[in-house]
Amino acid sequence: MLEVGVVVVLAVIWLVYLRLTGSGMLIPRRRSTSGPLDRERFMCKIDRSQIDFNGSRVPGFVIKMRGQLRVPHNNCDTDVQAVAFDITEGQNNAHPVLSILPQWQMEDSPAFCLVAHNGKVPRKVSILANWVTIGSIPCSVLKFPRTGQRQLKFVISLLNRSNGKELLCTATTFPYDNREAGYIDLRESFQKVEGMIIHLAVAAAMEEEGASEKGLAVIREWIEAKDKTSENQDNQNPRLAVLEKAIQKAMQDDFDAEAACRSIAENASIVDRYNAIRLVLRVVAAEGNIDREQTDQLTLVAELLRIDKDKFRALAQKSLPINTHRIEDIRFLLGINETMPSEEIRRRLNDEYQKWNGRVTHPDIEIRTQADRMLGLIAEARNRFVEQGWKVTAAS
Amino acid sequence: MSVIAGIDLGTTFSALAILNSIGKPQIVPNAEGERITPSAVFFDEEDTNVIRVGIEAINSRQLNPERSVRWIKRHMGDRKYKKSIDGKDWTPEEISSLILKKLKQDCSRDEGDINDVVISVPAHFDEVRRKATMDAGRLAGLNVIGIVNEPVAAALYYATTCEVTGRVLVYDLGGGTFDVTILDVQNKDINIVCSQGDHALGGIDFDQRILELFQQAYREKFNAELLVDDEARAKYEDEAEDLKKTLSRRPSAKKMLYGEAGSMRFEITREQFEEAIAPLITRADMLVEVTLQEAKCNPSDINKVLLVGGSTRIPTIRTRLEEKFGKAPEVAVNVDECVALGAAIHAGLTKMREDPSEIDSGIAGGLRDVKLKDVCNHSYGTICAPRDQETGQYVVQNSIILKKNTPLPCESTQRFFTMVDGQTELQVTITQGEDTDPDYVNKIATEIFELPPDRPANRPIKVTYSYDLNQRMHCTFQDEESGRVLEVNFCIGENGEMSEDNVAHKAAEMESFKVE
Ligand SMILES: Nc1ncnc2c1ncn2[C@@H]1O[C@H](COP(=O)(O)OP(=O)(O)OP(=O)(O)O)[C@@H](O)[C@H]1O
Ligand SMILES: [Mg+2]
Repeated sequence: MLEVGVVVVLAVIWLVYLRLTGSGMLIPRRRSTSGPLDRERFMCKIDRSQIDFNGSRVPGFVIKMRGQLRVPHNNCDTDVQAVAFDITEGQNNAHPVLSILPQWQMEDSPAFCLVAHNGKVPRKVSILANWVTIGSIPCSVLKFPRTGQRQLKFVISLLNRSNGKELLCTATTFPYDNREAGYIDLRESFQKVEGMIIHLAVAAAMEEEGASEKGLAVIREWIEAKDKTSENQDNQNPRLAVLEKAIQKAMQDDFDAEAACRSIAENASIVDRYNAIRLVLRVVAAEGNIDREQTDQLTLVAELLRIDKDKFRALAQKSLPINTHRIEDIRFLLGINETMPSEEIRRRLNDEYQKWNGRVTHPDIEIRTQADRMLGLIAEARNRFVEQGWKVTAAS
Repeated sequence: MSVIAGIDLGTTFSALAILNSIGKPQIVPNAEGERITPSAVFFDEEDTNVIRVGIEAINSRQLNPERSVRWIKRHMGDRKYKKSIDGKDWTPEEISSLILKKLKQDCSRDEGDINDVVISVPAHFDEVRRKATMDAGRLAGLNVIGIVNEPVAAALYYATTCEVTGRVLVYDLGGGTFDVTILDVQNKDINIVCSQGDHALGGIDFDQRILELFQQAYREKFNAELLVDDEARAKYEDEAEDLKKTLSRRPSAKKMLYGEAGSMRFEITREQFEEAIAPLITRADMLVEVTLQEAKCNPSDINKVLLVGGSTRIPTIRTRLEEKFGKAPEVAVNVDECVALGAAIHAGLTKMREDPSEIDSGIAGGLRDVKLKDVCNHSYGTICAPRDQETGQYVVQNSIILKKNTPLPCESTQRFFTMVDGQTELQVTITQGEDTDPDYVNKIATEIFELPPDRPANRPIKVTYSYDLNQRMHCTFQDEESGRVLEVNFCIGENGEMSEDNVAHKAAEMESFKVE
């Protein structure tokens, strides 16, 4: 469940991140104030305490302000706004803190932003003598760039409600221990995983004389589709660079596919593991003939990526349709192997038979032909690999 | 009074039976005096006023294969299939209607006009094929009051004519299709348990194997092709069938092959034939096993194996069944005729249920005790997007609502939810098939369900499918909050390209074609 969320959020974060740090637009300027007494200064603080949220008590940030409010005229209507940054890597290298709930996001990005109506300030200079709560945010709603000890900075501004202009601004910083994976962490591991998937796909495209052009075309297509969703077109495409490197490595036979699979299995989300096997299957499918070595490797890759056996078989049957592909080892497509007892093979083949028999009347001619070929294949496999299947069950 | 009939519209042979005055079905021979009629059509070049159907068509076929049609049942419901003759594109329904017309015409000579008829179809025929069959009947000017599954018809006849009790497996291997059906019989009470079929397995596939052996032998001897044109193909298809039938009687058979490169003697033993058809027999074996599995029973739980269909005359099929079930299969009824006979009984039962005042008291008395409980032949579902349990991703899936083999009449409801905020439309798709992968199921209807505006996601939609005794399916989609309902009457004979008007119009057009 989580994984999908992460993937979606990440795509957006990439955008936000660049925009915020790139332009610096959203980091409020500090103003030199005329230096009122400390106690009168406009200031803010964040209390960490249990708050009510959706009917339960959860740990939260309680944002408060107090001090002198200077406004252009008496009875000036105001809003108060809170934004937050992670400044662990320095003020100049601030990362936004994000919110997973839309009501606490900026209009055009998921960066955290809370705006509340503060009401009319009676006089041009008024003083809030006590701490006033602006808002309470559950900790789990905010997302930080990295995991571990972080330095957070909250910036509170008083805005003129009539024109949105900032009237006053103050900030507070404090340490925070983030127990969750940071969004940059996730993106990095995501890139790493993606890089490995590309490497693996290239390895799958390798033939004796080099990489299969059709196979590489599939990978390029995959990269293009990824680029489209991530909107990262301004700088040099890093994925293509990975592809070039992967091709070089594969040419020099300097790539450990098994290790890559293990690493993907460990680091990638389950969705990405499926993406990996899908891509590899598509790469292999780009060529019409699939020999035994390839099918053995595919089986191994699926196993290492910890892909469910039945799902893998369904994927393989779909990606390598028997009516357009010549597959040397039919057992691969049928999910059987030589170590299985005859009775189990019989049962599995019956299941496959039932499945494909249901498809043999499909309105789509392609599927119909595929189903018919599969049924032929299944019958052939039964004759070859099941001894006495018919009578054995007569006895049972 | 009205004549009630049942028609077995077979791949290779068709037959017609009527109910006599005491409700017993009997075959009506055709104009040539035969009890079954080849399902073949020949468009005579010399005399374009008449279309030849039956044995005449078979005999003329070798002269001009281009103008002949056989095995049209395999194309039933295929919208792409067209046979072009003299500028007219004939659909499978139209060609089938010619066969039906001939049966109807021959029957009326002796027995008077047929009023109501039930036509049989393989159990595994889908909605589209059933509808096409029904349309063919209407094009032939028949009042099709129902459709019955062939094995059910066979079982009906069997149970009403023989003393049977227990669990019966009907093994129906005909010319073009193969069905296995398991049913429980208690006197004249018949409960269908389940059915499985292979759409592409039948006698003509065995013939093809022999034909391949002909070709292979000829190539080996002369290094030349035997089947140089359609005429040669048509001829040797018939020869192959003939040889196959001989092999059911004798341990070996011979044929002369006359090709352009020379002639040769072809000899084949029963063992060689069995070896050639082994993959097909294996398919049949598997179908038996999966049907047993579906019925959750062992071979030993089957009390009787009933043979139906001409291809069950092949000895190895009988021996194999004996091996599997530990007893010889029964040929208690005529394998070529029992489907038509059973269809006539089914027609009587349907008439009694729908229109009891219209039925002869003698017929009603004869059918009084017969009770049939049939099942839904396919699973029906809808396309939705649940979260995959393993990956957590939304995946487009076919979700089955009405499960195959549920006793009729049946109804089932499931609840789904809208996906996004402000969703005002829901595309509803009705599917037929067992797969969860939507690419592999047959989408039999798609409609747009309009929803109220300005609502958050996750609004419940109640989906109800039902299937009645007349094999009519009905679906409703209900928006629970607003009470809005979309009804989809997926009624055989009303969906698809052939609308009511269209059928009536076509039927009038078809009337102008004479068959003989
Ligand atoms: N003695 C025999 N040996 C082998 N096959 C036979 C024999 N007699 C008939 N057949 C085959 O039986 C088939 C016809 O059987 P049947 O009339 O039951 O089929 P159908 O009703 O036309 O087809 P279907 O029910 O599949 O639509 C033909 O393929 C024919 O060759
Ligand atoms: Mg038949």
